[in-house]
Amino acid sequence: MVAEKKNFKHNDVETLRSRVIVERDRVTSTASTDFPHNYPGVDLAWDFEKFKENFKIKINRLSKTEMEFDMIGVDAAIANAFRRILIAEVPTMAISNVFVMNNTSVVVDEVLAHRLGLIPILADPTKFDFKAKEETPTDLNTIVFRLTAQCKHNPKASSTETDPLKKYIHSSVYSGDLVWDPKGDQAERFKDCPIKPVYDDIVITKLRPGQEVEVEVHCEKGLGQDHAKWSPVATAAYRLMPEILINGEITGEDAVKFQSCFPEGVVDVVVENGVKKAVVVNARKDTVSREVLRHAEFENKVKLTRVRDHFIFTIESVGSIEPQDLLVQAVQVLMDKCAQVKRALQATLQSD
Amino acid sequence: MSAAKVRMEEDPVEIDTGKVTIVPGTMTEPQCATFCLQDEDHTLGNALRWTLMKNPEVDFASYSIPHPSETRTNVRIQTSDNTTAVDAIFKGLDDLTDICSHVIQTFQAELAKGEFEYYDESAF
Amino acid sequence: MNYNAAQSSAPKPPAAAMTYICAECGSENEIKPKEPIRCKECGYRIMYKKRTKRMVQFEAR
Repeated sequence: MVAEKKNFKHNDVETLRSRVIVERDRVTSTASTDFPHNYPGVDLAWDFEKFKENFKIKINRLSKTEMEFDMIGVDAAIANAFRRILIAEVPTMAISNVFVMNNTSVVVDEVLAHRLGLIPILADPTKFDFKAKEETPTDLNTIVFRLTAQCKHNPKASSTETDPLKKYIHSSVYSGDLVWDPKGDQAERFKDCPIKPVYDDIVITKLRPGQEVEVEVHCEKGLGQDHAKWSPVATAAYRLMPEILINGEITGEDAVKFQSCFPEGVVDVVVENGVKKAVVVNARKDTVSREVLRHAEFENKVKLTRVRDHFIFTIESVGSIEPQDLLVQAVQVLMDKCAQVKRALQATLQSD
Repeated sequence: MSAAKVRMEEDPVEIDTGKVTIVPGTMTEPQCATFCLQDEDHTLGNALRWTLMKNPEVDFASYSIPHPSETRTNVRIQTSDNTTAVDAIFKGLDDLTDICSHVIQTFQAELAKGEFEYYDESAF
Repeated sequence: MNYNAAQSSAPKPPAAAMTYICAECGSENEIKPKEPIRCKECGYRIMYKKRTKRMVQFEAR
């Protein structure tokens, strides 16, 4: 009775085109194939109007530093370009040069400089220019901070005190100790949003009585592809929307077992006419662990796929640029790239 | 908050002709060419490859990064007789620009609707 | 050939006392050449050199 064993239509064009298929030991149909001439009778040529119809963005949650949204109707090539730009090509300001006047702390100068470099700076990078290596620093391309700290015994502390924070004054140097030194008209230009580190409680170094730190730091505009300190995101990542398809019905104790193969909230067991039945309620929560595919009783009853053009994007900002602005800026960077290549190619063609 | 605030990275007056070149000997006829994009990588390469392949007049489109320590990307295009490789890359770039501007528009419309959970993690 | 002619002909600077920091009590000690290395405060024999007063520049990478 082979005919009764209903198999999923494994090779139908629509599945192959729009789904990534997750099997027990492998993932298939991974590459996008929706290009013209690829499937007979299917017109897959670029159509901006069709794209506009299909394309959707749904923001799920947003905070000062994090955003999750669904981006539906684009190819991985485009989504991945946005992700790559977020990580490596959206400019920010970061400390690039450290001038050490004095540093008698246990942290050596090189390490201190490196630690300073990684501190996220709250300054609008669009209001600054890139500074070339040989260029001199000006108020348009450089932000100056000073950091001075001296550690002393706290005269008010009791003699039995063991907590360094109470026993000594200035036993820890924090990012909040960086004092902005406005140059030129910077004080006027940034009077509404004074330049400062994003977080004031990042420990830079620790001190003991007699030790001191005195440094001046210069921030410059840069890109994450030069050094990670210029990356505006802690992470920018996407995953494809999981999809769980049930062939026929999964009932009785199998339904309970089926449910236990998924994270909580993915599958519900409902009772219909006194019979337990498994229903997929929220595939988004699935981690695609493929646990179901290990059990013989579910063979040919369940199929796991991922929707090829449904991206669940998460942007976690480092704090200097808000995540909703980050996405817009990233897309803008890609547009700028296109415009730049176009103009350059026109110039090349004319010069030939 | 808006796209208008984003500054163009390059000076619009000064155009670097070395940015895009046609690799010598690859344009044996107008329908095929290999373009060399200086200082570009998979970000633009793959996205552009996709929009090129979406063009029914493009017979072949691909990109490669010939050497990992050289920051350049080659884009190979072969087209039907109805168009040329140069027109195809311009169309590819225009389509990509269209996608980008529509993404920004859609995103800002969605943001303006405010139909999402706004949460404050300052409690951490 | 004496490559150090210019140097050797120059007048010798007076034996300047260098200041060192005691590793035990942290007090500053002026020690002249050939003097015993010993802290005047606590008698400890390990001394640290003082850090340069010159500004040092680093790339924050």
